[in-house]
Amino acid sequence: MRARLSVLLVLLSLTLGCWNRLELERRAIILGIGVDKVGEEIQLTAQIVKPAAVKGPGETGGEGKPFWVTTGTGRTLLAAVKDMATGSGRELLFSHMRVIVVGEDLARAGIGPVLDFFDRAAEGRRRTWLLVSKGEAKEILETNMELQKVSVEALTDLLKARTDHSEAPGIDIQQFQRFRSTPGRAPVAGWVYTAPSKEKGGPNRLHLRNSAIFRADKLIDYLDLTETRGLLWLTGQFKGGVTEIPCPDEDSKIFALENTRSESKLKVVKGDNGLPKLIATVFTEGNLSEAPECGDLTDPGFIKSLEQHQAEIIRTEIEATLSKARDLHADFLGFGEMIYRRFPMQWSRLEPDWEQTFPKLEVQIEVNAKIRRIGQTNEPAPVQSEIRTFRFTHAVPLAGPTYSQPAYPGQVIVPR
Amino acid sequence: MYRFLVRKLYAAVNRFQRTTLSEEQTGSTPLYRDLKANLYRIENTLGKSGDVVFREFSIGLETPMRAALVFIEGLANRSTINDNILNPLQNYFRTVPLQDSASPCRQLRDSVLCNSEVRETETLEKLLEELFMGNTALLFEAHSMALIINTQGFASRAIEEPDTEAVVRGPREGFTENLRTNTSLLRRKIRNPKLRFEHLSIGTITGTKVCLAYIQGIASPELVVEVRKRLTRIRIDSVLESGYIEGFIEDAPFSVFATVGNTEKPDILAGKLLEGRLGIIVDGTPMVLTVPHLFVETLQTSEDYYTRPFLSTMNRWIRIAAMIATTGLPAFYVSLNTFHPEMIPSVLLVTMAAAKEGVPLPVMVETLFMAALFEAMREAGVRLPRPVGQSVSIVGALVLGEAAIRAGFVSAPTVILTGITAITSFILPAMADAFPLIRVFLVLLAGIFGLYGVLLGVLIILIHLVGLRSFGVPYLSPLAPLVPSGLNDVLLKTPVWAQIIRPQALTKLNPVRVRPDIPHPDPEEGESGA
Amino acid sequence: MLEKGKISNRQAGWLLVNTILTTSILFLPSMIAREAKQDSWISIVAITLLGLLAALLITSLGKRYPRQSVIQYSRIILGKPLGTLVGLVFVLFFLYINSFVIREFSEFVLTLFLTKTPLVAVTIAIIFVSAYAVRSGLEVLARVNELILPIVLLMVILSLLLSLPDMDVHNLQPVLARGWFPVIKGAYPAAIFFAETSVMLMLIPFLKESKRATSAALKAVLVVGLFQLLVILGVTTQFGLEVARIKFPFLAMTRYISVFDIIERLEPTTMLVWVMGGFIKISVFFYCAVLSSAQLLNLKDYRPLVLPLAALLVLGSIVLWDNVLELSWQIARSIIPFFLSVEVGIPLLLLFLTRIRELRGRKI
Repeated sequence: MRARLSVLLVLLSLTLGCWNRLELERRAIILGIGVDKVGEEIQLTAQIVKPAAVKGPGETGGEGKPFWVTTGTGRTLLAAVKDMATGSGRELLFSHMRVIVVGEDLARAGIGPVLDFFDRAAEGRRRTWLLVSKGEAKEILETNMELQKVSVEALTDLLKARTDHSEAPGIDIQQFQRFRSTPGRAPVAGWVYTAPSKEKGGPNRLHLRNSAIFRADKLIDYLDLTETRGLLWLTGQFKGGVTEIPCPDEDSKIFALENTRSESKLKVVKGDNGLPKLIATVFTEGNLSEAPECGDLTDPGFIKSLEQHQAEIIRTEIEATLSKARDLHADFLGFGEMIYRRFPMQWSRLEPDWEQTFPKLEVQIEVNAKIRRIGQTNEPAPVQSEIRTFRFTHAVPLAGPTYSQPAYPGQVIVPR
Repeated sequence: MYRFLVRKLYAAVNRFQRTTLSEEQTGSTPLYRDLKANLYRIENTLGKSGDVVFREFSIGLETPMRAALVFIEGLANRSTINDNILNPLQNYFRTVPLQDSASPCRQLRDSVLCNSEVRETETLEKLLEELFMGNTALLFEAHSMALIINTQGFASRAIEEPDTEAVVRGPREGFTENLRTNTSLLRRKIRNPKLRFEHLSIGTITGTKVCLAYIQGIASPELVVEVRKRLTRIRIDSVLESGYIEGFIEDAPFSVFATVGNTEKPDILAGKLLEGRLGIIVDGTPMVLTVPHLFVETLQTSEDYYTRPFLSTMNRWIRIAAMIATTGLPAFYVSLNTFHPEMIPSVLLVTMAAAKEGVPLPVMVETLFMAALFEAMREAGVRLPRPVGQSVSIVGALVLGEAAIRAGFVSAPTVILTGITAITSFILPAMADAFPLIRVFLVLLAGIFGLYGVLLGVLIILIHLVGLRSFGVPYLSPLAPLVPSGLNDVLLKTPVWAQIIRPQALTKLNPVRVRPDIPHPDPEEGESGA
Repeated sequence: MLEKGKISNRQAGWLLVNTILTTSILFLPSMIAREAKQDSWISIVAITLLGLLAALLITSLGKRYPRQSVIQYSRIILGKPLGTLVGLVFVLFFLYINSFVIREFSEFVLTLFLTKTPLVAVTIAIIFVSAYAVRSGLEVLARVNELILPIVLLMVILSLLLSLPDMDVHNLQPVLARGWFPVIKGAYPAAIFFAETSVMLMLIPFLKESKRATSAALKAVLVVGLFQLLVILGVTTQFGLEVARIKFPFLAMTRYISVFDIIERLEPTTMLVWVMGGFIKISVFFYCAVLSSAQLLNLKDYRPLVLPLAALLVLGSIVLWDNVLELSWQIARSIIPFFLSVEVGIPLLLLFLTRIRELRGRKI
């Protein structure tokens, strides 16, 4: 009796069918989405992989683009998703989504609902990059670059490589949500826009540059390159990137420094005017990449002056960011968070009016910049060889390369 | 329900009881005194079989007594009969008279016959039994006692390396079909008076000789009693292979996991006996049963004990990984593919989706189909003659797989997955009958509930394994219940000098194997000459 | 005795660890963080201490009646009618909490993995496996746990280690900024988890060394507390104040792991923890329910009860709650006094009365 019953149960569950099971070819794998506001509705653009067109490692490739961009619209995000799904006939798979691009319009109206949708979904992954696009996100997704067939892949590569250029912050959903739940903090996201290609007739290029500043979940403004760099300095996210240091004597000659590392520490101490004072310490180091004819690179003193110069430049950048933050009344640098951690009592007093109080904070910036290496060579220009006088007979200038004609076009001859 | 069916079965069997099983060879019909009558009866009982030879002759010159030799051609060694029986019988009595013709047996046995083993019998059944063993019966006129002379000399296979248990390091001898040869091989490994052999005869028609081997003082006495009880309880007409006996004595006949082990090599059997197990040697097959059999034994091979510990440990892990891979990989693949694509890396997912385009079957069906195909190829490879068999399995695998992919019948990931499953299943031949079933079970569950189903399936198997016992010993010792002293042979293989204690799960007697106070020699001490 | 098996103290301790830990890892962080915010870890420390007290109470009661379970000796202490009533309360309690856990379990699986599968299917599946284990006996259950628990704990530690790069210790600041009261309030929902030590009331008769039951239970509570602390620390340092918002922070943490872009998508580990651990928890409560019913009804063998009670559990877990919200509301608020009074209150009462009897010199 018992055996019969259990066998029946098992068979029943087998025959009832499998509810969640779906063959892979019935799924549409979404790589990235763009969300825009069109009128009163939300427009969802998705980039879906076309597996048949993907060149497998050992197989002959498929024709055409390996991805497909489709859109859907609706009053809510879910409605837009369903609208889009009807277009493809396959079940949409969001769990491999790598980037969410939010159009400027929607960002200004508030991206809270969008984030909530993905956070709540069973497939929500918090490591999805979040970007704000100038203009329509749809445009961004439809652009494809030369090296990567799929624009989402291009974006992901750009994001991964951002540490080489340090032109924009890389924020994923996890960090953004954390910003929103941190006391006083204004969330930040990366900014992306298209620009015409440098090659004639080539496709548009995607640029990942600048940052978008939010208040709660609404976009208020964006930071330009200098201000973004300042932001990255202050949050310790500036990894690789170029700092150009003009020669102390002649402004036209510029040293190019490639930063390798940076760290930043924010400390909160009691200030003078009753408000806390913040001390920001930034440390960075880098290698010299390009040196014009200026000064003596073998002299540590000169290097030190270069370092100080570099520190000045960095400080300027940071000051620019701070002034922008004060103008916007947006604390995107995490000062409030620091105060909350250190002086919670004071924070609870400051919090209600934080946006007004924040610009009044005194910030002391200390920059410590180091130049570690200068590369393979010392001086930029070839060293003039001395004409050595020997003991015997007359010193005859050696017939050899004359130094009055340039050896290669563009060489500047500096008479000794 | 099960009990109901079994009762019906018994009732049906009982109706046939009278005609079949009752032919037990336990009768004791006495021999006649008349020689001719004896011979006639023997000939008739054996059905005038063409291979039975009767040699009549006379013993003694003065008062010749009629005698006859009976033996079965092919089983008895003719030259032994000629040299050791007929020769002395014919020649001895030229000079010495036949004394005491009232009972010639004694004189012949004591002084004349040159065989190493001579016995007497008075029953027909015993005589016939001895004939079937290859011995010769010597019957006399006017006497009802016959002499049984040992003349075994049938053809049998030489001792060679078994195919199924080939090793790189270790002895190459394997058991043969002859019980006596097998026991001798075992004796050579364990030269100790404590090695006991208990002989039984199982099978009412075949009368197969079965030998129970154990080391007294190591094997637990209760275990010996239990095994003996189960062996003597067997009532079957024939025992052609040890598998028959295995079916009768095992603890869980309906489980896919074997609770009785087998081996073809004497060194492995000796090792197991020294751990407290019992061996059951069956005449007619080189496969010897070992009892009790625990799960961890499928992970152990004899080479682990002969090679260095690091290699053995690595091999253990490979085997464990292989076991998990061969049972779980298809199910894991199916569940991830259809239920949880979010768990597959993006790049791989795209490739898999690309490979799956245009393939008609659902992944679960595909996987099961490929598994079935593989089993069929494997079986075919075993049946075909050797040179052809090798090429079929290799060519078959490669060509069929490639062709199937091209035909759009299966997808490439499924083929490679089946290939991996196949290769890993060869690493553990001992569980070859359990794996396909477990695999299919898990794949079915994966197809219904995804990873959740696979995990539940694994739990079901675990619960089953944990509750299984082999002759009273929990099947998963020493892992569950945890016996720390036995853990040195499961996941790790500790060096020889660290295997101090015998497995406590099997026997509590004589626990110490290695003297722990004389460890492995210190490297510094071992310098030459110092 | 209805159960012939005997389990060692270590096995019992591990059973206890698994019973309490696996659900609490998944549910507790969010519940505690609602009140205690970033000081959740202090709540854990507090509640572990209380848990130790509870373990002490329960085992000292159980040790006084070494060969009997609570059903049996409550009849001795309180007399037949009242004792039977108490026994009935326990049976209902075990059944209710089991239905609750099963529902929790199924909801977890449904929310995150098998979104379209009906509740019945998932529920029947787990109850079927659980019933198989319970039918095989306590020893089998303990041994399966011995195999599973190390793997579960390993997965937890692995997830925590791989998440280290994403953790920021400063998220724990400011410490105790809002005082002790939120910490205590946060500890309130955790109480019932730690009071699940009451399963020992049913298990003590089967221990090989019931004298050492207290140390086994205490060690188990300490291990649970330790792991729970590690998990809460890990989750808080990673998510900060968002922990209160996310329902299953441990899973979110596991999903976020990305080491060298290769080690990603580690959800199977969480699923393993939950399914394996949840299975043991459900089976242990199921076993307690079955055994206590059998003892209440004075049966010779508890096995015939397995299937009917399984059906009851299926029914209960589906019918008693309409949706997930009722579930989380109950576990955070309304059910706590009821559970606590059964898990802690009744043993306290029984212990009290037993002491009185001892002091009066009556035969126990």
